[in-house]
Amino acid sequence: MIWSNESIKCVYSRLAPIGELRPHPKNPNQHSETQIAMLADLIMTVGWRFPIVVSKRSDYIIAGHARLAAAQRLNLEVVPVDYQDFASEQEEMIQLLADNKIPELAVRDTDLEREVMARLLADNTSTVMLGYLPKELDALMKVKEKQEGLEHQTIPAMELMPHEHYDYIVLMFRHDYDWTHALQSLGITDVDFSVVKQKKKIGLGRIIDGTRILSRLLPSQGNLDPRALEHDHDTQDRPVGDAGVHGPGAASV
Amino acid sequence: MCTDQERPLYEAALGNQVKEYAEIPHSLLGMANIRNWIIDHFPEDCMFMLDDDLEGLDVRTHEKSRFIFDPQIIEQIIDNTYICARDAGARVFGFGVDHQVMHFRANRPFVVNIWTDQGWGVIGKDLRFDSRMTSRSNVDFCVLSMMKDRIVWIDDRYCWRGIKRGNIGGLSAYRTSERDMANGRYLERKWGKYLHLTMKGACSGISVAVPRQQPGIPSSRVS
Repeated sequence: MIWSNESIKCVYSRLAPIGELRPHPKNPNQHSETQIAMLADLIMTVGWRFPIVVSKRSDYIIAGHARLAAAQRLNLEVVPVDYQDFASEQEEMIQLLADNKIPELAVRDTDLEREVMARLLADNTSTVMLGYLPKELDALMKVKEKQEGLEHQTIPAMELMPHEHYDYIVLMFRHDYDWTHALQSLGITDVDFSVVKQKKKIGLGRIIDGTRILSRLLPSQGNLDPRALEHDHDTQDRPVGDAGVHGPGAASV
Repeated sequence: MCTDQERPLYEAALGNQVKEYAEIPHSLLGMANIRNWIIDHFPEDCMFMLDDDLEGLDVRTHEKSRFIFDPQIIEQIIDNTYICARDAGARVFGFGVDHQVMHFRANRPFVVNIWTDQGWGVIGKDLRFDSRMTSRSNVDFCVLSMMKDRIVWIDDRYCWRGIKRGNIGGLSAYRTSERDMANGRYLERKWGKYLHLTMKGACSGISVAVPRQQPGIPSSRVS
């Protein structure tokens, strides 16, 4: 598999074939299958954020052994590589060890970690790539529940917005002519009549944003521009906070 | 639709009844992962999921519920509900889960803030199923949609009728009351005050509390 350049977000010297790369023989870090699977998932999701660092002096990988393994797992043919100057073997070894060891010394702000994690979980982000084992994740979130009484916590995005109100009026048409006349008058296009042309008929329903109805009922009042509303309705993902009108045909069920 | 390894079994059992099979990888575990895979790999705008133990739709608008078992009519009802949901800007659509005719409110045939099950659809490809869940991911998905889209589209006039506890396969291979409860508790932790796990004897139920109307608005009477 060859990735498009859009998937590579980091600076690199060139895209090198995987077969060209040589792992450092003295690399002390061993990577488990789980770790490589997580990293592969991360690369698939957010792309390449770091290149594999190769020494121009020895041609060995200095940083990015796990990334190489993840690329092999993903069956990639080329990977982004940054070729860097190292003055001596000693410099290479220092970088090789420190690159993995120094990040281990970081101390995590667990409150912040929980907050970020809660947001990701609320969006159903896959947690596989984050490097958390299920038990670890459960422990992290359970602590939050105990500490802050999560079961009573408010999620702002879930709360009712000011004036938000979903309600509807149902219109019923007993005759095809009236129904099609209403469709035309209300500007409903793209009607799939295949549903009602079946032998066994059922009622046909459509939903219209309430603001569009109001603009047609009251064209001379207010500053609502029906054409603008129609445009808005077509381009918006969802109508917000207005009555909908539902018009079924003569229901046979 | 079946897994690549199960296909020979289905072919042997069903013979020529099924003309076309769609295969999903056998290695996928959990309904959430399978559903995410289907959303990712099929170009269609709508994915409709049906339990395999359904007999038909019950209509709740009469004094006694009426049963629809004609596949053509059921298909049309599903199509129509999909169209309405798309018009309303909802990405989840389905039917009621309450079988009681007495509980049906004739002035509110469509409900926008409850969860649905058994046979229900997802429109679009933006929302994702929570891959940590092995069951009840439908409830999670509905609540997520209520947060993102503000509403789901549930035609409460109908509800599915199924063969209760008369089927094996699918989820039943790894579904236990303990795991079901664990999934419910996870949902409670995730959604906090907007979702409640209730107990009826040994069975657990889930109710969601997501208001989508300003309180205090009186109902209208038109004569």
